Amino acid sequence: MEKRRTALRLAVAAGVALSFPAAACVPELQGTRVESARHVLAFKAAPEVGKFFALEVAACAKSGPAPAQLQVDARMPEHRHGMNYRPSVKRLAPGRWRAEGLLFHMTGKWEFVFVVDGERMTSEMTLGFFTDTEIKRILSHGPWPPAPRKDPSNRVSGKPAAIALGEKLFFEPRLSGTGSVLCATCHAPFRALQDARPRAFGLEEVDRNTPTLFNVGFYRWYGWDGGHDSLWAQSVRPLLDPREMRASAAHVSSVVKKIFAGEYEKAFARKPLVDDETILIDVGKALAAYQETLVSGRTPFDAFRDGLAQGEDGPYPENAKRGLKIFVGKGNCSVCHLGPQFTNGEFADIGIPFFLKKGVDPGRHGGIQKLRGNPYNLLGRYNDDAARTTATATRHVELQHRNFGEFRVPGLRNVALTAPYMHNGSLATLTDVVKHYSDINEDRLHSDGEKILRKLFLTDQEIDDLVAFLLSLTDDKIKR
Amino acid sequence: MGLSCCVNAQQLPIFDAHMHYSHDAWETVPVQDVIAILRKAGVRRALVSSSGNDGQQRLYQAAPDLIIPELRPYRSRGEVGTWFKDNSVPGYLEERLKKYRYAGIGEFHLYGTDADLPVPRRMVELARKYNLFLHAHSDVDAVERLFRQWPQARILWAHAGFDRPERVAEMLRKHKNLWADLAFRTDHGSGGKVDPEWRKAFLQFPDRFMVGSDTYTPERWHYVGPHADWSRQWLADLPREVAENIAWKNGERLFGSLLRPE
Repeated sequence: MEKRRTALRLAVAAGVALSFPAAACVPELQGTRVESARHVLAFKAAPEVGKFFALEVAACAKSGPAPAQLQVDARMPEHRHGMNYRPSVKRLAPGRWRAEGLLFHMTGKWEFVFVVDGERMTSEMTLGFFTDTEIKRILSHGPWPPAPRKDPSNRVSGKPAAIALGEKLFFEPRLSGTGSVLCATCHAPFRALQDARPRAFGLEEVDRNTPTLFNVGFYRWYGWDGGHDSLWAQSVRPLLDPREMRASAAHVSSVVKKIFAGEYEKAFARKPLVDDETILIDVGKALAAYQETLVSGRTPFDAFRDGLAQGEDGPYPENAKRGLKIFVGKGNCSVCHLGPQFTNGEFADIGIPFFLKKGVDPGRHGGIQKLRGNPYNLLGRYNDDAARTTATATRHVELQHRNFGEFRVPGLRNVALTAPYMHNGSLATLTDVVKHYSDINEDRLHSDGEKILRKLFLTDQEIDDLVAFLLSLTDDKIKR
Repeated sequence: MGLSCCVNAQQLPIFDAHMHYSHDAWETVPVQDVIAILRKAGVRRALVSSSGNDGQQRLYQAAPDLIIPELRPYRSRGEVGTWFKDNSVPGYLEERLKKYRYAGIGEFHLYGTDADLPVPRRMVELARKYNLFLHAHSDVDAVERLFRQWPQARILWAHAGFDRPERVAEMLRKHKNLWADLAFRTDHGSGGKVDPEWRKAFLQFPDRFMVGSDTYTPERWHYVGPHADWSRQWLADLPREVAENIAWKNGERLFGSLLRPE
């Protein structure tokens, strides 16, 4: 595969010609040097696409007094056009100038043109599409996949027998109180492990959207409200919820004893002759062990990101590239959707209404209270991590007023496969989501200081570009 | 301090000094629901503003014993970041002041040098003319500038400027006519315990603080009750008289007499 090695930072090809005699003068500026028959010039500039910048210039004459006149311009030789602005040049001292009002409105190859006392000198630079800051942010979204991680709070995490049992349980309807609902009812493998409904429906409709289970093994909190602090505790929750699987510890225990006694013994190295609650928790741990294996694969974005890390500009749709620039730039999206999973793992209020048919969904505010009252949290006796290092977040999480109406910042890998969106499935498409952010109602947000969320006024093209970027986060194997 | 300890949290009334009832709340939380929420939460009085300035009048008409209206310099909620450069705002304020009764102007968002722009200056002149409080969501710089414009101003500092307790205490020491609401902050009373630095400020200035729930979205009216309970929890960690002052007496003393029902 041919790889185009491009200059991702400013690559300056100074017009140094070997035919010129050694410089007989040294300009009073550390910068890019250009030499001609009569002069030596040095300049400093840090252009970014679409932003005005200034140019510091120093020049000296190889013989005679310091040059008196300088004109500055820039053009794109391959496009046969120049800038849209005419810079002004101010003389600071003999042989020193500052040019202002330059703006490169496109990426690509630009040529600075200096005219020093009537002598023309040029210097080329390639302006990359991404700034250094943007590149740093893009690289922070990988590499993918991360190394497998075992959960110290779950003694069967990563254990093949537990994974096998967990997979069987995941597809077992008899675990539900009615014998009719299984985990995969809502987390359907052919729907990217969610259900494509606005709000989940087990035995009844609930208030929140079903999230995908891909990459759940890497989370800190579980549920839209973070009401659980481990994957195994979260896996127990729908079993007991009367609207979802309507089971009880006694029911789950009896199913395990009757149907999965052998698998249970292999996974937990004991017969299921313990109390019902312990078996219920063990079922949660086996389910968690299975779900930890649900790691999505690499995406077109990952290939582009890894290439970028090597200084390469691999094949990646131009619209996705433009969308990525918004994502890590003016959109501020990567402030919360950060890291390889595109989430900080925390909670935020993004101005989505949270009324229910009756009352409101308190989101994270209710989640923290649920967490604290849950006997299965990581501070409790079912945590297999004796040192309780896994319980740091649970121990320290603080209930704050801002939590009221906050919901999980979801990861964005495979987001194109998990419509509809938001905690209540209120936005049908990715375009709707991008428009929500673009037109965000700032009055619904309580902010003091820097506004991370603000109206973006994106054009239709920019909205399409951001969606194209989000589409590039899709693991094609899941699609198939 | 020689104050008796401690307050019976369950019985403590609340003066909620930071509420909004804007147009987007009218349908989802109608006037009667708001009144019911306030009474159920044990809110004795509430200082209410609204973008558009009709919401607080609706509430005031329904429950003049409960609602104390203040006038917001925003006709719509989108003006939070632009009102101080909008020359039509003073005329709008004056028109409303002639028509309705208010205890203060605010809550308005104003930071730094913006406080010295012509529109905020005119707003301060109107507050002086009508003898009104200023309810400022501002940094220290803007508060100082407001006091320079009108040294006798009475300012309720929204969210205590989201500043550190030491800095808040310093400002209260410097300005006798400055009070602070504690809306939307948890640092002073997290987990039902009063933070040591905040405790110093509360004990030093027991008559200068108030609580507030900040109902900036319609949904947050459903948080008024939990917020009142949360406030009672941390107030119970203070001496009784201090807790009662912060819970309701300070608000009642300052605003109650300004706007008795006609």
